[in-house]
Amino acid sequence: MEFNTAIEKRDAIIKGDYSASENILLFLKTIEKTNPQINAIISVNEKAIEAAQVVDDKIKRKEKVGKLAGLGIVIKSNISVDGQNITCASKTLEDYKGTFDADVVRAIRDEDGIILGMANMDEFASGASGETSAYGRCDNPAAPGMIPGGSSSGSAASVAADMCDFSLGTDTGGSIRNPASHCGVVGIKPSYGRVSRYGLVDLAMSLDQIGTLANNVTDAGLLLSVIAGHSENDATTVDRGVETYNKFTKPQNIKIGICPELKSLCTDDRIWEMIEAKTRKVAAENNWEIKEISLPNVELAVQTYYPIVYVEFFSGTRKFDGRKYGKKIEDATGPEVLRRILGGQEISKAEYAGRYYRKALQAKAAIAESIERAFDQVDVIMLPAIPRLPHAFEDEITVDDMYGYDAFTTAANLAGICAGVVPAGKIDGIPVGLQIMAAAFAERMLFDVMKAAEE
Amino acid sequence: MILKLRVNNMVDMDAIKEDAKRIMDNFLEALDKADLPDAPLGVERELFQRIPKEEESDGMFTKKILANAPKTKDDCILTEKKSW
Repeated sequence: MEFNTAIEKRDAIIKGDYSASENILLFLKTIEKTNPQINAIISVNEKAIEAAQVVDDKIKRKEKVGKLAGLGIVIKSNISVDGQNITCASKTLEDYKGTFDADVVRAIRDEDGIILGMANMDEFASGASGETSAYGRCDNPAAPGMIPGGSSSGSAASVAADMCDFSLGTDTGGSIRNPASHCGVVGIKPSYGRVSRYGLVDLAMSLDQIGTLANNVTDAGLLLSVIAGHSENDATTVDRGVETYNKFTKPQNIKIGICPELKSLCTDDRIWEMIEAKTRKVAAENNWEIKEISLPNVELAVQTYYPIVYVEFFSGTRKFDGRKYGKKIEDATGPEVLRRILGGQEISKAEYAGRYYRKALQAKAAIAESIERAFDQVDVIMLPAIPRLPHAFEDEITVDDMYGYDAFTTAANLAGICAGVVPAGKIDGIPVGLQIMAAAFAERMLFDVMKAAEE
Repeated sequence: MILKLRVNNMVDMDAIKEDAKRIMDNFLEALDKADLPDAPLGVERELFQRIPKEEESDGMFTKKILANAPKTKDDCILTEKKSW
């Protein structure tokens, strides 16, 4: 059977035209066949079929089932799932098994979603390419031989390769939006505080958010509707009630902001032109207005983001000292994780008196204010997700160039706002994503605009 | 199914540290040139101790935690003094 969305599939499962077991078995076969080439999945949940049968039995007994009944979900390997391998794609946690379900995983199970397995990722979410995993690099199903982007590389690639209905990723500086753009799928980074981080192995706790990836806006919205909401386990979550993101309206009088001064950060003019054309098309089709805006200091987002990440990551990794969880991190990890730990350790030294971190916090506040002021003038901001096309695996790339991938995504994390990516087209056969930013907790409107842009 | 781990190449810790410091210095230089407002550092907290969750106090949770530790004896995680 063929379905346009996972929601259509779920309805067929509930109606009895299709079954959860058939769905999960098909995904497991696809993973078995495709994963040796793509390397999107680190480990498969051996109990997935059993869980699907439980859902089928509930349906046969005419019991009420949840919003994700029988749908297959892949989880990034830095989110705790009871009994699964929570490796963060690192040798440090090679043998670590999750001891409890993260809030987001519990929410998925409560809605009868089936956990298919754990996704490959950049080690400890430290990377923008999917190449730094201790389990080997992940390929891009939409552009084989090219990086899929990262750090949620396996989460995006598993969706693009039809290994699941949707997946969970995490986004600290673009780690959902970047691979969504490169793999040609939809990805959403919710506002900081929209989704509980309880059970997430943090990269930088003041910036991390768990979000969703799917083949279309409707499905990404469905999964976010399930995982969003206040949790007493995470004091940074905001109690704003649960919204539905998979039902849409056609909003009137939307003002789209574009920021020409950011063009200099785009290293491939073809991407800027494609996103500009896509923005004009979306505006024309929906009778929306385009307004040029200025975003002072946003060009410094990368320079602001990394000192914060280095310091918070160094601090957060001190628990991996080899006593409670597997190996000592410095003894078992790759160069990018080491760079962040050693760099964070260095600039945290007393002799610098917090100079780097303090300056970065000043810049973070300035960037947040700049974006907040922009949303007084416009409803959304449209810009590219990534300033360049993905590089091929054989290409040599400097650390500075690698950090440059984050030029358009980190600002949303620094400001705590929500942002999503939808496919905009292809250049040289490689997907390019349109990024849409909206104010903090404006996900409801963001999804309406993403839906319009998708169509 | 669990994939096999890739074996990392040996890394030069000093070179990585130097590279990280160079990157941070470049970033700080760029931020120093910008006209930025003062921002408060740190937050006020009322509670400094995390309250354990219900599941953390049951025996099963302890068993799972101990299974992840490299060295254990009975209900304790073993570690060599000053080894970390």
